[in-house]
Amino acid sequence: MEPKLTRRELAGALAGTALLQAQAPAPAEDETAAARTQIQNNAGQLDKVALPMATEPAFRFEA
Amino acid sequence: MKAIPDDLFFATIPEIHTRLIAKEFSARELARAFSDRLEKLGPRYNALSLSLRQSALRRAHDVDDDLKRDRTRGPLQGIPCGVKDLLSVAHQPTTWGAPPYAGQVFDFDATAVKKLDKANAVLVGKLAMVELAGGPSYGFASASLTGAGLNPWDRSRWSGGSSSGSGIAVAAGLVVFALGSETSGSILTPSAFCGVTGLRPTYGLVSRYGAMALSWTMDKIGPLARTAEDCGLVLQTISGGDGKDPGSAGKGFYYAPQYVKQTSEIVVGYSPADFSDVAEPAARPALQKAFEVIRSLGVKIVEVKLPDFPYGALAGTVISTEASSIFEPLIQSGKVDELVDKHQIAGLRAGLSIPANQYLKAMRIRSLVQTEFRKLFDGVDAILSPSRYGTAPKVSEPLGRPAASHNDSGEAPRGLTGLIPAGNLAGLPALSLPCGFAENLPVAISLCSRPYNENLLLRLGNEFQARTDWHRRRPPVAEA
Repeated sequence: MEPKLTRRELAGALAGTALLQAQAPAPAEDETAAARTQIQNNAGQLDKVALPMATEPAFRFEA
Repeated sequence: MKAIPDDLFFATIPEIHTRLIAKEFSARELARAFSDRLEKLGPRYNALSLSLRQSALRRAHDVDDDLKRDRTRGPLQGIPCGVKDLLSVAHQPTTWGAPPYAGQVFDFDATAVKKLDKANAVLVGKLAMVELAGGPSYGFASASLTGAGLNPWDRSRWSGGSSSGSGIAVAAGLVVFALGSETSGSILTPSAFCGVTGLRPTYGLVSRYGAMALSWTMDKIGPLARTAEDCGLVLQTISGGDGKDPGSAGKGFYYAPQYVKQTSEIVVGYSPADFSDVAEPAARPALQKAFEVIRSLGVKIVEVKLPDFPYGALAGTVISTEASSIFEPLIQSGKVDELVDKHQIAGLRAGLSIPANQYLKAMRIRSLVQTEFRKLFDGVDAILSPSRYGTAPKVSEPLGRPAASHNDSGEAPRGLTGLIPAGNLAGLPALSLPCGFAENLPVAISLCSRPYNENLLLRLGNEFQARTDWHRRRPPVAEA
């Protein structure tokens, strides 16, 4: 015997599925979020380095 | 037309040049034989981006004309070679290994290509690479227009990247030497995984004019070849100041390892942990034997520790920021989505949001890194470490994160595992030497030194290779 659904119940079920699909992150968004997290982790590690105020950015790369 | 003997495909530059001068074969015969081999075997390993057979044969014809008149032009005269497809060759496609640039053609030669041509080397092909030289990061070996670089020692394994085709082509005897590039590991890694000798020059020693930029402050161009001597001969040819490269140091390099200090006066630093518990167990026997060979040269061995910095985070910040700025038009146009690797796409997009403060902080810490390495090299002439701590991964597996000194929680490093990003941040030269096998795959050691000390590295490399024959081993598949 097939379960009976009213039109209202069916619409609600479909809307719920659509909502879930919309909320599920696409793979590309997962990757971008992971890349952003990595950048934040990098920033956190850089923040731990004691940096004297007089230190200028590296401009030359030789002895 | 003479048949070129098989052993010649694995010979060194001086060996081939001597036989060429002796007219055992012509430059045209040599160029044809290498072109045949490159076209036949290159695609088997996804190593070939573009064959340059016709222009190579024309160049070889000119070389033969010179040789008929006994005009010799130096050690690279008539030597078949390849270049990574991030270097422009006039009027030929330069793809940077990336689908969005598949149809790109420049009307000028890169300076390094021009210098090879001036030395009468014969360019037989452009070699495959990881797209955009790896960009900020990539997750899979397949991140390339030409597919995953397949290791000549085992095609189920990766060749390493991003100079994948350069490593493969030298290992499989498809070219005598190749040019690659390194921003953070892209010469040393394929050299190690493919069992060839690779030299990352000091930053600024080789012009990058006509090369794709990934990171203005970290990109370097260098040779992958059979031996340390071959690397020295190639570096001598391609080095030198170039007003067209803002990063050029304005210095040349003359290959003269005989004039560096006596081996007994050379001090080599290392970390014992690298050779015992940090390297993968299978690789340890080969690495430990290599360490003993280095010790047997008569050098003084001392223990060293890397200056304590978060090298992975530093290199990641610098490369991501610069790469995303360089490729901003690609990102903003949406064509970035045509890239093969989703990690690369995400990394480029995310890199645009790195605050200026974070980049500047990384560059300021880089100054401290340079200062600390200067101090370290007051006490040692070279630092010895495994080139990679294990063998080539399977092509089908996701790639691990690049070697970094600290993990995300900031834990202290073990051994010298951060030396690749550290050496690249400080602009230091490094030489990778094949040193044995683990599970039938190549293992390699690296020597790193202070800026412009390539001759000392090459001296140690020559002496190591005079006592070992790992650089002479041939992959079995390539001979099938």
